[in-house]
Amino acid sequence: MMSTRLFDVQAGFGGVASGASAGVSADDLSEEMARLDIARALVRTCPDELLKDVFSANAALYEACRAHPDMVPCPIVIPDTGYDAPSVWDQVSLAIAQGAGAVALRPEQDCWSLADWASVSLFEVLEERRMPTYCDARSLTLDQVGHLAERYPGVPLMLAGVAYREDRTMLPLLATFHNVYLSIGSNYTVHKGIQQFVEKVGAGRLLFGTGFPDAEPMMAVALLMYADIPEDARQHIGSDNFERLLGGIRR
Amino acid sequence: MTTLLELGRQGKPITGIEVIDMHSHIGRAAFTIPDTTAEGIVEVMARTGVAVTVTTAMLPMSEAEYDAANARVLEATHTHAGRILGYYRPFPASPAVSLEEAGRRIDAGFVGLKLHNVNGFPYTHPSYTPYLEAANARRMPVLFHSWGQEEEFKQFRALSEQYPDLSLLLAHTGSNNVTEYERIGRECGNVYLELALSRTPRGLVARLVENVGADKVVWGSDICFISQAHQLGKVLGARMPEEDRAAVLGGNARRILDRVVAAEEPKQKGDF
Repeated sequence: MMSTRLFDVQAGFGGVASGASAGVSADDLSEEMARLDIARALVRTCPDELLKDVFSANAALYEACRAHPDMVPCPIVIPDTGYDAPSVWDQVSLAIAQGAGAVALRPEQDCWSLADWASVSLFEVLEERRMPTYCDARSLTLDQVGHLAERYPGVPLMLAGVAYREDRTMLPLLATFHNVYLSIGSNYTVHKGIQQFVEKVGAGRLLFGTGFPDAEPMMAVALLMYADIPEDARQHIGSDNFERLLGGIRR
Repeated sequence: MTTLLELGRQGKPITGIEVIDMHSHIGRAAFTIPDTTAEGIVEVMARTGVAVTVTTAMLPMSEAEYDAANARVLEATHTHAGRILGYYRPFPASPAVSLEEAGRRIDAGFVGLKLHNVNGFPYTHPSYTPYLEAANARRMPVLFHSWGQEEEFKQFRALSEQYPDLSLLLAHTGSNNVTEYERIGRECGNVYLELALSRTPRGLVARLVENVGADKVVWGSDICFISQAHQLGKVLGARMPEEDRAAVLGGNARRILDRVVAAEEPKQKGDF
C-alpha cells in the first residue's frame, strides 16, 4: 500500500521562546519529517512570540529554505501604512521570488488593524496574487477570518491553531466561505471531526498540518491516517489541497 | 518487522501488543462532537487497534444526572462486553453514602472510579471516602482529573498513602507543572501518570518515561472528548524503545486491571 503523501502546512523552526536560550532548527524539522515520512513542509519562524523584526526573520527563513528544498517559506507580511516598510507589492513579490507558498498575518503582534481603512492595500495585493494567507487562531479570531473571507473572496485563508471546541463555528465558516481552509494540526483533535468535515463541507477544504515544533507531530499524522474517510479524500487533505493552492499563486 | 510507528503512519490497526485506553467518555459535551456514543468509540477502536477502553460518562451536574450517566456506562459495558469497561463516577453526596452502599454501586459492574474536581469538591472530601475505601478493598484504579495544581498534588499524596491498594491514575499529565507530576510518579508507588492531553508538547511522553519509568506511565485518550487516534499518535511517535511503548500503551494498564479483585477475595496489602 502506498503511504499517503504528506505536506505539513503548520510547521516551523528558528524562533526562541521566552525563557529558552535556543529553539529548534531547520535540520531538526528535516529529521522529524524524514522519521515520519512527511514529504514537504510550509514553514514559518516558530515560536514567534519574541519575533519583532519581521524582515530579518523572513530573510533567515528564506536562507534556511534554500538549504532545505523540501521546505517552502511562509514569511510574515505587514501593511505599508506606517511608511516604515517596503510596499506590500514588494514584500509579496520578494516572497514569491523566494519560493514562498503562503504569507502569514499577525495583526496584533505587528501592531496593525484589520479595519478596511488600515489594511485594504495589503489584502488587495494578496487577492491580486492569489496568495495563500496563513491565519493563526492566536492572531485572528474566527469572526475576523469570516469578515476577511467575505471581503476578499480571492484570498485563500488558511486557518491554523484552531482548538477542538470550535466546530460549531468552523463548520459554517467553511461552508459559507469557499476560500477558507482549515489545518488539522495542533490543536484540532475532534473525535470524528475530519470525517464530519469531509461529509458536510468536502475533502477539499482541509489541510494537513502538525504544529511542529510545539506539538508532537505524529498526533496529526495519526489523526489523518486513522480517519474513516475515502483514500482519495485522505490524499486531498494530506497534500493535494495545499499543492493546488500553491499552483494558484500568480507568480 | 513493522514498527508500531510504521503501523500508525500507514493508518493500520496496532497489532502485536494489547492496547488499552484507560480514559474515555460517552455522552454530550458543551461543544460539538460528531458522535458521542459507545458505538462510535468501538468503531474507532476497530480502526486504531485499541482492544479495551475504560470509560465514564461526560461530566454530570446533579445527583440524578450522575445516576443516569453511570447507568449509561454500565449499559455500554454490557453491550460491548470485553471492549468497554466502566468507571463509576460517584456523586459527592452529603451525608456520604455508607461503605456498603458504595461497594454495592461499584460491584454493579464497574472496574474503578473516575473523579473530577470541577464540581468544587476536593478529592479528599468525606463524600468520596466510602467509594475510595471500597475501591481500595478491590484494588481498583481511580482516574483523577488533574491540571497540575499544587493543591491537587497534596491530595494525591494523601490518598496514595491512605489507600495503598488503589492505583491512582493522574489524568492529563503535563497540563501544567510537569516536574511535580514526575516527582509524585517517582515517589508514590501506586501513582501512575496518564497521558490524555489535547495540546501535548513535543517530547513529553519520552520525557516522562525517561524520568519516571516506563512502568509508571499509562495511556488514555479522552475519546470522545477528543480524538483517540490523535492521542495514540503521541505515543507511537515518541522517541523511546519499542518495549517501553508497549508498556505505556497497554502493558501497564493490563497489570493495573488484573490487580482488581472482588471485595471478598484475599489480597496482599500494597502489592504492586
